[in-house]
Amino acid sequence: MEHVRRACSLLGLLVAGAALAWEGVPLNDHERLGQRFTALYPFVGLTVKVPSWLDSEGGLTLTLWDGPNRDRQLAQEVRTDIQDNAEVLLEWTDALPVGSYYWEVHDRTGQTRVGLYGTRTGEEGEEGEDCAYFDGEPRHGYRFKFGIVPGGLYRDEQTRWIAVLRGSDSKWDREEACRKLAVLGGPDAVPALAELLVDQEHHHLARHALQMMDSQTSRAVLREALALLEGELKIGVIDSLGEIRDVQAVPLLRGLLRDTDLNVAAASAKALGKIATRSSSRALRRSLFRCQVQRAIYSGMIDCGNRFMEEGRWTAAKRLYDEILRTESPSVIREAALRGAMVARRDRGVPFLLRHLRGEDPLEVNTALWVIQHELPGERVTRALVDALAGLNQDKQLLLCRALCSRQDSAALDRLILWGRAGDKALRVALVGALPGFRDRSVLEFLVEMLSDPEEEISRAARESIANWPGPEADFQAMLLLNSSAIEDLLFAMRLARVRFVKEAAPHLLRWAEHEEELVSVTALAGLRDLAGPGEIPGMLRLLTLVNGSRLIALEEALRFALGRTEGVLATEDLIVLWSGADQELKKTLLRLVGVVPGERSFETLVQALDEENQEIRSTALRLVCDWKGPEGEEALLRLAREWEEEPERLLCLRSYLRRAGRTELPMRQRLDVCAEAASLVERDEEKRLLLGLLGTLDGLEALKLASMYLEDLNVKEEAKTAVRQIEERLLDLEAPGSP
Amino acid sequence: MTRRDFLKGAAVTSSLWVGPWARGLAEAPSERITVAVIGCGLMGMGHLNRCLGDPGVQVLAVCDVDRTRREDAQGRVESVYADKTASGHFRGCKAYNDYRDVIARPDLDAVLIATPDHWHAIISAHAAQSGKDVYCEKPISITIQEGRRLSEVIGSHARVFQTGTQYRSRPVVRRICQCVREGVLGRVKHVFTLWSRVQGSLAPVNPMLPAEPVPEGLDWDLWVGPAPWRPYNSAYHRNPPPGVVPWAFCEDFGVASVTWHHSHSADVIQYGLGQEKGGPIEILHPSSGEFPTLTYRYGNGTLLHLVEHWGRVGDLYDVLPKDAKLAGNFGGVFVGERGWITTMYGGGPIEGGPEGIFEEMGLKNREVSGANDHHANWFQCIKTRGRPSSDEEIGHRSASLGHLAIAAFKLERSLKWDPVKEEFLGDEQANRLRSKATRQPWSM
Repeated sequence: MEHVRRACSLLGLLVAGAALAWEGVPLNDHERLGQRFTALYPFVGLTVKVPSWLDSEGGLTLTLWDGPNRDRQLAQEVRTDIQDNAEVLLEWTDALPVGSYYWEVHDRTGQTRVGLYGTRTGEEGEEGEDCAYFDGEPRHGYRFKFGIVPGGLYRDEQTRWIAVLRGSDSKWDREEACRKLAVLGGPDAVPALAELLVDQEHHHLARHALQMMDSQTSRAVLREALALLEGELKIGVIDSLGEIRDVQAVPLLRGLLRDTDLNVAAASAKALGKIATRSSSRALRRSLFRCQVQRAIYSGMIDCGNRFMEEGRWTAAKRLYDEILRTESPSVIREAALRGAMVARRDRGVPFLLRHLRGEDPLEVNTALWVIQHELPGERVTRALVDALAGLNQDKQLLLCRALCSRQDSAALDRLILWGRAGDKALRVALVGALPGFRDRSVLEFLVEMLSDPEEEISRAARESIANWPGPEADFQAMLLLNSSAIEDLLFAMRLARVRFVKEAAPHLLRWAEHEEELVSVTALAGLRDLAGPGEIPGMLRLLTLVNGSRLIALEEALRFALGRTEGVLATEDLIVLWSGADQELKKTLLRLVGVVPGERSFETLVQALDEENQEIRSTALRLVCDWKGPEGEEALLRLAREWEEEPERLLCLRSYLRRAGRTELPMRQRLDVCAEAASLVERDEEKRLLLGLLGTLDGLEALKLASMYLEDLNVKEEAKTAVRQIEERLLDLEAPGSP
Repeated sequence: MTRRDFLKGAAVTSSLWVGPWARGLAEAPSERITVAVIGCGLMGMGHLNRCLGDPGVQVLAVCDVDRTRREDAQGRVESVYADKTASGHFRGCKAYNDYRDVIARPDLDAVLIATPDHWHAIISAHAAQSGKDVYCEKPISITIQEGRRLSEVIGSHARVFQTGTQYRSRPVVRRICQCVREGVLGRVKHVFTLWSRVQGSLAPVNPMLPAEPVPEGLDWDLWVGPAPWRPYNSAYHRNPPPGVVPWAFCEDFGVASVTWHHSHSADVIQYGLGQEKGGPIEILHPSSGEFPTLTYRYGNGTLLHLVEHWGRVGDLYDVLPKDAKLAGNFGGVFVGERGWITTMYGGGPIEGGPEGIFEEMGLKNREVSGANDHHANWFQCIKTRGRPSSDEEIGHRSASLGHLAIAAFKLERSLKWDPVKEEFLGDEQANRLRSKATRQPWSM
């Protein structure tokens, strides 16, 4: 019996330690074990949890030093007859300040094994960093489990809140005390909190605080409370015991599986699942068909299996899940158990997984697919899955291929690409769509190869995949294809370059803009619209005399955007040079392009074009002059508004001139001057209304005066009143006290 | 059409859908994904509308502890679906008060959860344990412990879980994050994001609000649920809603800045840093003197600074050009060796420098539009059983980043964090802040 108890203790130790990936390190194998640490706040104590392979037999000494060199001893505690997982507390009166320290356990006594809980930190660390010490030697990347007891202010705080808990009449204050003690409470707070476990209002807060302390004492209090409580309060304590994985609570919880309160029984099942020891697992399995809370027991078993797997206890987990699968469980349980059974088998579980993937039960198929995409990482599993493709029917090949793509293990890549070339059409289309997830060059090459696949659906899918390729590698492919002799590839490459903003493609696009095939030429020009830089503009200008029709339209648009992007001042002269030999259509095009290039020279060119004989060219020039944004336009527009002989054009100029008053980026003075000048030319009601609308947006007495001139004009009186009111309101705002 | 025919036909543009048979029904009436929306406030109605507009989805149920809201939601569903029927009538959507009745339905494939934060993890876990796939609003937890537990439950029940951090699914943001991750900015040295105060505090608060009469039709006890009990007050919940998440200021129901925006930002930032399933190793409180604002340090040296408004970046840190505008939210500013770039939404176009960075990232468009494929991604993964773009572990880590800051603010000191074991190093008090009290009988 003794060896059974010892084994259980060891098992409990391993489980408790392993629950947080901690392992027991016996002091028996060393002279001394220690930990360098940094205290981030003043402290008055140190706690170390000691695993013991045999309760109440072994002992050790815990000493606090100023550092690993052990120059100055700060405190010491000798303990004997240590119970398994006891907390050895080393205390002193005056708080030690923030800083670096070192503690050790040494001088083991007794026959049994006692020691510490340790764990790997996953980092190599550097010399001088906090780490574990084995016989005085640092082991970087390893640390022992311990805690420090806040001192000074914190100890006073605890005392204060305990007093509040016991003495205050205010429910709110007592709640606050529970919350504070959950953070800073220690052994002294346990009795006061224990008293509240029977209090309906404060139970959950007190319970949580005890849970946070997680000491032998607080656990004992929770266990003892089970016998005293009923209903929801009992359920609360059961939940807490499960959360802290109290191994000693297992016998009590086992007994509660048959409680007449089914909610209590269900909670017990769940708690046993969370505790996840051999005994809790056995309790659940044995009760499965003997209790009324079968669903909860199944859930507990699922949970238990999961925890076994986290602790590396794969065989135990597999056994548990397989047992569930042998029963007639609800579908949600079966699904979780099947997932667990697949994962617990690890690499060796691929045949098991594939058996379910091949099946006709959608639940099994779905679970297998889920596991492939979420679990069982590693090349070995991936290769085994890929090897299995050939033995599946087409439907299942499709599912597995998509899942392998989602799995993103490059070990599958070569074979998946082979399937992409040789599988059935549906599979190939799916792979063309899914393989880009790998972002590998070989996939891109495969996609380019698929561009010329005789199956239109596949080549279309390949185009889409290349266009959506997330990295710059596809740009390179676009560049390669720009030299293709196949029209289809060329068109694709040009569109791809445009979509992916491959500026390096611009010179190639310029070359293809002269292609004899109109579609190629227009596509190239469309690409130049977005990609052309200063280097391409001379070539594009040269094209102006070589193309017409839809190509000229596309070229004009491309140039318009390119000139706007590059602020091609020099291009104006190049455009002017082309004027003399240009026909009517080209002249209009040239004017529109000049209209995009800012500067005096461009504006002069437009104004000169107003004297052209051809009416259409004059109209084009006039519209461009009216739309001119630069400062040169103002004076010219005013002159044209005064002097142009044809009335419709004169009014166009006047209205354009007037609209400049609406440009908020201009200074107010300038805008007022525009209105004042325009006012002398305005005759028709339409222009008066335009003027008044603009005046209403301006400030100052001058604006008011101008607007007021129209108050007596019957046709625009209302607009004048509105403008006047708007100006007056702004004037009043400016004059009001406190206004900026 | 037989299932086999469907399998063949569905191969090209959509994934195999075998869901209906998974529920053990003899024959499913449609191939659509059946969903319920739990939580019908402003956010919930947004999700509801998204589902109603998707021909691949059927809304079977809505749930809210507020009768007015659930009836409004039910009416909305019936109205939209009625328009699609020949008769002009539709009565196929049921309204529930208690989510447990919803997740017990065998004909439901999935749930969307838009309740107050304190319910997120529990309802998500229970839904998963009932065999439902889950879309849960962010943050998915109000403590580190419940986020970890939720992630475990989702995994152990083979569910498909999407966190409601849709900003990462906006094409421009996604592209930038991928590029940052791949090193276009070089090593990322600094990241900045916003953190807001609540009633003057940098952590959620716990004010004692006076009790008010519970509005007719509101099940207040179920609204409070697992949180510590407090009496009803309209500051937490009222109709019409005063805005989204009015309860978030209170630490028992929400996590203030984490609820409002930080969990979105954390998700985008950790995505860009390649730390979606990791976390920082230090949380440096301003009291340490090392940085003027709370700063996370990642294992590779990257620093993530929290600032209360964008002006503080220029005031306190000299790492960006003086003319950087910085506006918007739900993202961050990445500053690397080779340049910098923003990922915020609602503040105008993306900013960055040098200019070549935009070309290198292939960013023709610098506007962060609202369009995203976040729900579509989830629906797709429900069919393929794949992993959504913001799965449970990613959602847990983005929420956790905020919880780490709150711990540092509450304790007013710097903390060391082990992102693998999810423990504070050498700080018992901080470790105790990883969980909160849960009112019986609720548990995960």
